[in-house]
Amino acid sequence: MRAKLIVAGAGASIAALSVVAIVAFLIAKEAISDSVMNGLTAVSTNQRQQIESMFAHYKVDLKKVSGDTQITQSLRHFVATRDPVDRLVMNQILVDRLDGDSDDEYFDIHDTKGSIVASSDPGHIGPSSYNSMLDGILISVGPVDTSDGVMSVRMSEPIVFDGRTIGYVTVQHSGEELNDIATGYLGRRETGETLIVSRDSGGNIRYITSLRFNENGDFYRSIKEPEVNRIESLALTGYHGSGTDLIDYRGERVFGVYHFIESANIGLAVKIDEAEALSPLIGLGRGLIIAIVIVSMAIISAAFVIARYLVDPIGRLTRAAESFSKGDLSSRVSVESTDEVGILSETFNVMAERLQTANEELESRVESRTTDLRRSNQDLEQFAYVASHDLQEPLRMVSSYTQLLSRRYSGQLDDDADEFIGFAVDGAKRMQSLINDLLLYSRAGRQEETFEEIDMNGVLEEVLSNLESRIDSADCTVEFSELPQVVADRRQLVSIFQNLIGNSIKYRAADRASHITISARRLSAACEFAVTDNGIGIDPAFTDRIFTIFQRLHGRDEYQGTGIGLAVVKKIIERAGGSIRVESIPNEGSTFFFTVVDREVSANTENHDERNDLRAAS
Amino acid sequence: MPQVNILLVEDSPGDVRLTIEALADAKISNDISVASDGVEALEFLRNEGDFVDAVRPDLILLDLNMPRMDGRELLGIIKDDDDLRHIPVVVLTTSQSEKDILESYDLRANCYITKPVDLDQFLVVVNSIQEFWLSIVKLPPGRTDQAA
Repeated sequence: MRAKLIVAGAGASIAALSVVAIVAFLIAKEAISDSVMNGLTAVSTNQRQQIESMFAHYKVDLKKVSGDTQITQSLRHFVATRDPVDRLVMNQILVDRLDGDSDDEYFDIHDTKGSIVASSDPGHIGPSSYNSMLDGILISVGPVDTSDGVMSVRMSEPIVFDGRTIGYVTVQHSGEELNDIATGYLGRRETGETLIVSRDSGGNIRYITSLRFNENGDFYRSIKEPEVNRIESLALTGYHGSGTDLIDYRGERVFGVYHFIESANIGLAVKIDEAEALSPLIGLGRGLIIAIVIVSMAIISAAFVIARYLVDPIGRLTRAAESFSKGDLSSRVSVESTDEVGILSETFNVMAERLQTANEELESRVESRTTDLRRSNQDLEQFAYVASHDLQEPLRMVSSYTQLLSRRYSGQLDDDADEFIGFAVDGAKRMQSLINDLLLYSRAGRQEETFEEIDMNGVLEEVLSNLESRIDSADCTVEFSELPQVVADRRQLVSIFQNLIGNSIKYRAADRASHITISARRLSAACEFAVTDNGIGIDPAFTDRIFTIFQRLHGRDEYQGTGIGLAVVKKIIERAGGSIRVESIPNEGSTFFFTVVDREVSANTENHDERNDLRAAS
Repeated sequence: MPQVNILLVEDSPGDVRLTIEALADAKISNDISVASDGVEALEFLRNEGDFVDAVRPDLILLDLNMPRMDGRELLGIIKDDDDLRHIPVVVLTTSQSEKDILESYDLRANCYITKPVDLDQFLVVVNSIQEFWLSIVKLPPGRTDQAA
């Protein structure tokens, strides 16, 4: 039971806690992911706004230049006359503009063919390779000067006169501000990063912001179109989206949110490593496992404690009760607590003690009673024997001399004398008979027994031969089927059968031939015999009386006998450990059933005597 | 007809009379002497005391239970005595006890008879005794010289 308790406890706790842990974990993961994604979304949205605002700001500044009437006039004039003064004027204005904004690097003014006609940096004047404005792209971001790898933002704005574009003004900002936007957000932690990417003329992806995880700081890279879920390429698809299963340039799994900023043709991706995003979960997971282990151990310990304080005592109590019921009356149980179990144990002990004591008392009482009984029986037996033996002698005198009188003087005295003598003789004879039978009865079952394997058929043949003359004169038929073999005392069996069959012959019906049947059937440790006759039968009211000593159901004139036969038979049978009963229908017949215990051949006389003594008392 | 001398050792007068009555009808004429206990019987057999002229019996009918000296003791003495041991002793007693039977034969009684309680049967038994012991059986011849 203890094992069951512990296993059940452990199993249940681990199962339950595991389920809870898993659910908690999943919920936590969901929550954390949501939280991270929300954060990323907020950051990216904020950054996008900042970038767009930055561009707007740049545009406003640029428009100040493109809308400057002096510039417009000068450009118009220059395009027409190519007057160097116009250039100088424009240059000066550009230089002045530059000072106002620390972020600007230079201003260029292009003609419609693309050549730079004026600039804040005179070195730029000349044909330009920068044709983006001709492509319609007014903002381009990317490194112009690859030697120091610094990113820049270039913006162009058309200069319009009279509804016609006469040129462009381009400004180049350093990319510092963009970089700051990209890197300056809360919640970057260890792996958070904003990528700003664009597609180059070859269709490859270009990294505009510096890469956090690249020591070289080489952020101008092109990569061939990468695999699915690559956050950089997703950012350039033109759609806004997010995902928790994206991959970055390191091949790491990231959570990310991406935007496409159409005005600048750049993609914005804010990401954080999945590992870092879900890092709280590790702690949670660890914590849950530790909790499961601790709680399980606690439950197992509790189970052990329960086992020790509840199950074990109950087990001990059960075993003590079992062994007590099996006969060990000295079994007790140790009391180790004061709770209900302790009380139960205590109570059991008290009860067992009382039972044991009572049993011992009973045993000793039985023993002393048995001794008394045995002695009393012996006294009785002795008395019966001595009495009947000593009575014999004087009785013999009376009997013999009355008979002698009768012999010698019958006919010589008067009729009265004859009659008187007759009654005296008769009385003496009957007394003789009674004493004889009393002696027989007192001796019955007390003689030494010898147990041997007996062939019952042989026993019956002996009996029938003893009764031969009576059987013949009564014209009886006796039959018996195959009788079993039993281990018992032969003399007793002969005596019993002789008595019963003798009775059947004596109490035969007058109007039909007497037929006696003997049969037997086996019981578990004994054999039941039956003697059936078709005689006069017995009134059911008297079936107990007939086994009583000297009890008769008929007058002396009808059937002779002292009425001791069945009492003797019953005594012999019961002394031998069996029982006798009768079933009878008046005027039809009777059947006497008796059991004979089948014994081992080694006689156990001591126990036998003891049992016999007890039987005699009943 | 030769006379047979029988010594009846019996303490109950009633039984003595019965036995005598029974033997009265015997075919062989017999003369019965009676001793009422072992001491008397011994005096009789040794011709001592009152019985100086006693005739040596040819048959002794012996009861077992008697006062002073009982039949068992007497039997032992008789059968040990060179002079007396040849006399057949028929133990005639009411006892049916196996112990008594065995003891008697042990003490070399010639036979043991239980007295029937019924008179008729008793008469039959006594008749049988005298038939057997007095007519069928050859009794030892009487010794002519009794004194050494």
